[in-house]
Amino acid sequence: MIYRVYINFKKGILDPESEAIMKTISRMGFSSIKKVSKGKFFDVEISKTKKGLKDLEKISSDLLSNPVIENFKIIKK
Amino acid sequence: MSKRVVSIIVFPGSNCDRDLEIAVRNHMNVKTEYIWHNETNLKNKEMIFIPGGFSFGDYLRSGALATKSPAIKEVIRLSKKGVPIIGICNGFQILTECNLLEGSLIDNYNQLFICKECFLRVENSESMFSSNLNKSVVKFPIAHAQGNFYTSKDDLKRLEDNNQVIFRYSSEKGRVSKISNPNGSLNNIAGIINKEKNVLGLMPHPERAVDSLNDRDGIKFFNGLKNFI
Amino acid sequence: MKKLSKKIIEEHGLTEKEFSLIKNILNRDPNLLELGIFSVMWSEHCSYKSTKKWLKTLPTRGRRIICGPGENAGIIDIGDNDAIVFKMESHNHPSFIEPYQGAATGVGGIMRDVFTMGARPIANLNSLRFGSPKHSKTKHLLSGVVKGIGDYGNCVGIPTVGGECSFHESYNNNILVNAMCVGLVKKDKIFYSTAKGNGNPIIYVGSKTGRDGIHGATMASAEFDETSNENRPQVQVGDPFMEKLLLESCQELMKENAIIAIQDMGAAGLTSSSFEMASKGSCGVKLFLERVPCREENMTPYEMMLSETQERMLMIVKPSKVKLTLNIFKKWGLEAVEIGLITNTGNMEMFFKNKLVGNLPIKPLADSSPEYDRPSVKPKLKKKKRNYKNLSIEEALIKIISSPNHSSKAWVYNQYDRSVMCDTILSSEQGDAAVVRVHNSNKAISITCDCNPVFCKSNPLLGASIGVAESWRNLIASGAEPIAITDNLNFGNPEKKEIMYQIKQSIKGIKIACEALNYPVVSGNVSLYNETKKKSIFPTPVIGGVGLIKNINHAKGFKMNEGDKIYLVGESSGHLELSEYNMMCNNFEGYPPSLNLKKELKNGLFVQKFIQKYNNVVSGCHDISEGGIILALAELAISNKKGLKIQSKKSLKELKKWLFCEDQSRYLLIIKSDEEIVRYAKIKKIKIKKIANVVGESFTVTNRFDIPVKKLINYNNKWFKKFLDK
Repeated sequence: MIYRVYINFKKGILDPESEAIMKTISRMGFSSIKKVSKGKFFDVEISKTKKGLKDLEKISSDLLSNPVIENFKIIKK
Repeated sequence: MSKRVVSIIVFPGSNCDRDLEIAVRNHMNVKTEYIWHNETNLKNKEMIFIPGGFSFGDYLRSGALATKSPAIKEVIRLSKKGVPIIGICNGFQILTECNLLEGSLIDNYNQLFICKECFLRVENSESMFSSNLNKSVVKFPIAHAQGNFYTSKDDLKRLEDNNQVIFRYSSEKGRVSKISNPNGSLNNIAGIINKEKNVLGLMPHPERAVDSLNDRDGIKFFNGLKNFI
Repeated sequence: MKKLSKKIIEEHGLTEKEFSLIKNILNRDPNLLELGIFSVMWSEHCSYKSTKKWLKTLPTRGRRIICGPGENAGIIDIGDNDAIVFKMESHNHPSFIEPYQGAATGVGGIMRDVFTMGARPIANLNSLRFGSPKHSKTKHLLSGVVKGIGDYGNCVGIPTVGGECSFHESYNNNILVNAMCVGLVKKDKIFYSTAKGNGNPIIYVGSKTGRDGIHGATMASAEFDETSNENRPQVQVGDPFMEKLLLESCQELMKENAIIAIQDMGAAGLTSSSFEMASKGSCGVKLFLERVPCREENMTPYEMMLSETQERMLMIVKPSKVKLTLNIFKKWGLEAVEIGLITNTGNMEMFFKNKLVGNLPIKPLADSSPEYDRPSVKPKLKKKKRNYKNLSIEEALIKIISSPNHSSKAWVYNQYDRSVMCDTILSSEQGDAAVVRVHNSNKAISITCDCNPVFCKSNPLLGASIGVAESWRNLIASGAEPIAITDNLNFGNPEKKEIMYQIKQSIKGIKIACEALNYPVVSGNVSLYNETKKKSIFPTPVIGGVGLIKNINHAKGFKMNEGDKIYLVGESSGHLELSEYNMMCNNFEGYPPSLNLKKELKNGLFVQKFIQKYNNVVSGCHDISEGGIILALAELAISNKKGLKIQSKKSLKELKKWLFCEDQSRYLLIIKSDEEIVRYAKIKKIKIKKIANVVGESFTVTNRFDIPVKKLINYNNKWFKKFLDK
C-alpha cells in the first residue's frame, strides 16, 4: 500500500521561499496569481497492517515533518 | 587602461559582485559596469559576467528565479551573437537554468554547503577561457550547496566528446578521482562551455584567488581573458 | 476596563511587586497591551534586572573606544577614520527548540545590530556549546545549528571566519548558540538610535509582521520545564535574502543624509525598538498600528507590538527625505511604511483604527525598570571519588586529539563560506584568531571567541579572568594589538544563590582581567535561566575579542616550515588539575591554573613586539591553552602536515607534567633563526626555551615515542564523521 504524506507550513509561519516566488510571478506580469505556498510530499510504501499506518503517522510527525513549524496530512494513493 | 568595458550583472542577492569587479578591473585591465537585474538594455556588449551569490535568495532552485529577469533575457539574446559570457557559482546555476549551458547543478552529495580550496585540472586549453592556463592544475576555492553537476548519460557523452569540459576537480597533481570530487559532480566536472564555445560556467571562484596574500591562480585566469575582448 | 487576573500577570512573568510598581507609574491599572509591553521591557532579556548592578562595574572606556555598551553594538577606533563595530548575542533557547531557525535568526539578529550602526558586516563568528555526544538530541542539534549559521551568513555573503564548538553534558538540555558579528564603518558615518525632532516620521521597513515568537523575550528569561516541549511558542523563521535586501538598502540610504535614528526590531520587536529610541532621545512617540504591515489577518495591537518577526527595522528620517527613503526601499523590493511620528509628550501613544489603545510614559518605564541585588552564596563543589586512570603520554595525546572537543572541526567550518568578500587572511582553523583585512588597506583586524567553562565552574572569578586572558593571548599570537571585547554571559537561574554567586564572580573576574590588560568591554549580552529540571549549565562567560594588526604582513597563523625552530615563551609549573590530561584520566577535581596578569601582560607584549620587530624570522605563533604544550605542538604538526622533534631531558613523570600542564601566559613562537629571539628575550628578561624543531614527517618526543603525522591527522579527522554518519 502506498500512502502520500503531504507536508506544509503551519498557519502563520513565515514562508520566505513562497514569498520570493510570488514576487517573481508578479514581476513576470501574472496578475491573476494571488498567493503561493510551499509544501512537499513523500510517497511511502507500508505493509497492510494497522501497525503500518500507525508507524507512518509516527514517522510523519517525528521525522518527515518538523512539528515546530510544519503540519502533515496522510492520503491513500 | 583599455577602453573596453566588462559588464557584471547584479541581482539583489548577488554577493560576489564586488569581489569579481575588483578582480576583473585589476587583472583584465578594463573598465567595469554593474548592470542591475531589471535593466533591459546592455550598453556594452563586449563581455558579460554573472557573479556568485544567491540572486533571489536561491529559493525554488538556485538561479531559477533569476532567469526571469530582463537582464538575463538580454544575456540570452547576446549569447546568440557570440558575446563571451562567464557565470561563476550562482552565475553557472543561472546559465544552466536558462539553458545556455547543459546540465543542472543539484544538491551536493552530502546535502551540505561546502567551502574549501579545490584543485582543478584544466581540460581544454583551446577554449578562449582557458588558453592562458595551458593544461595545468589551478587552485580556486568553492563555496556552494548546489554544485553537483548532473546531466543525462547521452548529454554527458556529448559534452565530453565535444571537449566542452574545461575544469575538473582533481588532486594537486592533477589526478581525477572520487577522492578529489568535493560535491559529487559527474566526471568531476567543475566548469563547462557551450557548443558554440562563447559561454562558460564554473562553480569554483577564480575571483577569490587573486590575492597576493593567498593564492594567485585566479590572476592567470583573468589575464587570459584580456585577449578575447 | 476589565481587571487583569493574577494568572495573566503571572503569565507575563511579572512579580506582584513589579505589578504594583507599574500601577504606581501609571496611576491606574494597565490594560493587556500595556501589561505585555511592561513584561517584555522589564524581562531579564531587555532590562538586565539581575545583572545591571554588576555589569556597571566593568571597564568600558579606553583610548580607542568610540562607543561602549548601551547602543546596538560597541565601536572601536582603528585609525584612518576607520572604526570597527561589534557585538555578540545569544540565541540559546530558540536554538534548542528549533536548531536550524534558532541559530539562523541568531546570526541575522546580530548582523542587524551591526549594520544598523552604519557598518558593513565583514565577519561572523560563533561560540557553540552542545550537550554530551551521548545525549540523544545532540546530533540533531549540532547538525541544525551549524547548517542554520552557515546558510544564513553564506546567503547574505558575510564570511563566517571562526569560533568555537564544544560538548559537555551540562548543556544536554540547554545548548548555547552565541553569535558574534564584526562590521566596518567610517568614523564619521556612524548611525545611532537616539530619536529626535518633534513631528519626524517613523518608518517601518522589512518583513511583514506575523505572530512569530510572541513573548520570545520573556521566554528567554524563563527556566525550561518538562512541558515546554509541547508548549512551544511560535518560532521565528529567518529569511537571509530579506536580510541581504535590508543590508544593501540601508547602506544605500545611509549615504543620503536622511536617517536621524535607526534600530533593528530584535527581541520584543516593535516595543523595544520604539521605546529604546524614544527613551534615548527623551521624546514621545505616536504609533498608528493599523499601518503596520501584517502577514496574518486580524492581528491585534498586542500581537503587533510584541511580535518578533525577523528582518525588520525601524527608523526616524528627515521629513524632507521620506519620499527618497521609500523609493530606495522600493528599488530593493522592500515594503516600507510610515507608521508613526516623534512627539514631545514623552509618552508612547498607540492608536489602532483611530482609537487610543495604549498610552505609556516612556522615561519612567525605561528608568524605573527593576534592578535586583540578588543574594548569592558560594556553591559547595561536590567531590566524587572516582577511579583515575593513568595514561601514557602517547595514549593521552591520541585520546585528546580524537576527542569530540579537540577533533578537527572541518565538518563544521567547511559549511561556512569563509572566503567571500576576499578579505579573509586567516580563518580560525589556521591560527589562534581569525584575521580579516580592512578592505582596500594594509591593515587587518583579528577576532577570537573564548571561554573555559570547566575552569569557570570550579572558580568562576579565575575562570572568567582566564577567558579574558586567553582571548587577549590569542589576539597577540595572531600578531595583533588587542583592543576591546564583547561578552556573552550565559548562566542558570539567577534567583538561585549559587548561580548568582557564579554571575557576580564571573563579572568580577572579567573586570579584573580587562583592567589589567587594558582591554575594555564595549558591548555584551546576558543569557540567564539556562537550566532544565533544576540542572544548570556550567557558567559560560564567552569573551569575543577584537584586535588591530597595523601591518598585514604581521598576521600570524599556525604556519611553519621545514627547519624552523619552536620556542616556548613563559614558565610552566606543571599544573595538571582540570587539564585535558586529567579529564582523559577521569579526574575532574581541582582548581584552574593560577593567572598572573602582570606576567600575562609582560609575556604578551614581548611576543607582540618581537613579531613587529623581527617579522621576517617569525613563521607562526600559537598560544598554549587546553591540552598544554603537547596539544599545541600536535595542532601545528597536523595543520602543516609536517613533523616535529621535541627535545627534553626531563624524567618521565616531569615530562608528562610539562607536556600536558595548562599553565597560563605561554606561547609557542615558530622561528627561522635563533639569534634574534635569544638576544631579544635577554634584553626583555623573558623566559624562553627552544623545545622543538620542524623536521621530517613524524611527531617525535625524543627517546620516548614517535608517531607519523599522517596517523595523527587520521585520529584527528575521525570523530565528527563517525558521529554524524551514525
